[in-house]
Amino acid sequence: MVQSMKRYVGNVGNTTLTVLKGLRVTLINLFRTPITIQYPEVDIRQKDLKAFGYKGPLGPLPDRFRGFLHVNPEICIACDLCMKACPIDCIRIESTKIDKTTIQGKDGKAVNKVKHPVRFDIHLGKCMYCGLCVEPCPTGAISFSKEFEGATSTLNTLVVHFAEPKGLPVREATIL
Amino acid sequence: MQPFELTDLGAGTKEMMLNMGPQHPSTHGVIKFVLRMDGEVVAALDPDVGFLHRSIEKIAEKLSYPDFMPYTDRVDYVAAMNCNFGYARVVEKLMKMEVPKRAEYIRVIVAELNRISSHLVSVGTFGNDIGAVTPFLYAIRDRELINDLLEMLCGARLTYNFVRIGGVAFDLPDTFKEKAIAFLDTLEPKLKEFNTLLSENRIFRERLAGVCVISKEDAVAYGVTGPNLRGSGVDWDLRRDEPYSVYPEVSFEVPVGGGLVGKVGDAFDRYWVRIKEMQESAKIVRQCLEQIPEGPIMAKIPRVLKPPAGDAFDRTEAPRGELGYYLVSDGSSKPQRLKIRTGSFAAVSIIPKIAPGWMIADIVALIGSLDIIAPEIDR
Repeated sequence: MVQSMKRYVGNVGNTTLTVLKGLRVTLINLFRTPITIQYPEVDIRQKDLKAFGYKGPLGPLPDRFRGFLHVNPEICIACDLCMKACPIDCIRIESTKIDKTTIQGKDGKAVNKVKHPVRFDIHLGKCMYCGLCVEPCPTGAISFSKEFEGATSTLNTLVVHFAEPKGLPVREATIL
Repeated sequence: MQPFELTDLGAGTKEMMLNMGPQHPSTHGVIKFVLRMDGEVVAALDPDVGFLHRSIEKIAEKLSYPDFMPYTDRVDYVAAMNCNFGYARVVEKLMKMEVPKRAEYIRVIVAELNRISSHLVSVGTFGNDIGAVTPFLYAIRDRELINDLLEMLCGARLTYNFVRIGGVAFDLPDTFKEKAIAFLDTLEPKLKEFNTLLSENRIFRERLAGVCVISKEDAVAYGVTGPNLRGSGVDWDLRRDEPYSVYPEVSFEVPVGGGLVGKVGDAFDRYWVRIKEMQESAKIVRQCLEQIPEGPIMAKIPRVLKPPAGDAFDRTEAPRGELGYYLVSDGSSKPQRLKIRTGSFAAVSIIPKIAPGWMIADIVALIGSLDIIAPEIDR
């Protein structure tokens, strides 16, 4: 009787002790620097988060961040490599022949440009940001931006037209 | 799915059929368990999987070999690097391709970092399932630092698509090594804190001691792999026993469950193996960062991959058990068939065997300790 009583009290004591040890850990955390970045107030696209008063260990968006795809049609040679690399076919390119010009490539070599894109559509709603289209591009025309806020009220705005002249009718998002 | 036949228990009482899921917080995704209950005690259990089926294996037949890589991220999105790694390895095996040493080291570094982050999610959500909500936030806080490291490396935080057939996509950034070592230095004290908070807590230990024991024989018979198998006391780890990549060049120990608080193979053992494995993974990452040689990160591969006709199977040790890819090629640029074998599927198959006789709250502990994840079961 006394034995089991002792064991019971011991168990209760041990439980309380381990709970208190855990509470000590939570108490220590009360005085640590918060790790949370207060996102809309702190602009994580900027290099220096300390300027916004953030002191924690997390960093800003890295250079390799995969945000929305961006296309520069001026240096695009319409080689269609990105279109072929895309696993879900969310890129559509149409091009016309132009007079030959040369463009500085990604690896420093000159690239001949004989075609110019007249249509360069990317469906950002379908895109899974895998980066397979960016890798084969010889001129760096298609690249990732650091933009990531993509909320929109219409589906059509998810299809971004990079090469089209302004004023054309808005295409349905389902047609690409 | 056929509902259970409910037996009359006499004295005006009857067995009850209970649907647990698909939106149950403890099932970590959409899995349904149909339970036949005798009061509070489970009489039989039937897992109903397939709610998250995305026909990834079929998609593989429609895409070229490199194009399928982003889809392997989605096989197990908590440990996407390990899934990338396994797929790249099977295609390389089929093509008999040599991968540069530096690429292999980078692969092991990212795979082990991803293993740590996956186990952090696992132990955190396990605590959450049992009723300890606070440790989950501690685990997620530490995982955030790994996400930042991998984001610096490849630009994504969850679906990395980093490993390529024949190498890796990017080289390590200049500051990666010091940042990774700084993280590993903080991981050890943080894990100690985590243990004080959760693992050494008497209530948590007593809750899991001797609960839902999976015996050695059952674990082997049902094909359970990974930490769940080691939790049952089977000393088997592919990284050591069937070494691949650069694992033979690093030294690490394989933690095995030893019945620390209850019996060998109980829920606590499976949990404890994961905690120990995080420490071992940290060791591996440290050694790899020290030993990593200079050199190219991609092998020379043709622009269009056309492996010779034939088949290949390769298995790697993913955080949730052995991840096997079986690939059949007909010599064209697309696979003829790809079969993915995942650890979670085997883990689900043993639940109906273990569950009867335990109370419904213990089923939550069982599912949590097996660390199953819905997309890996359905694929």
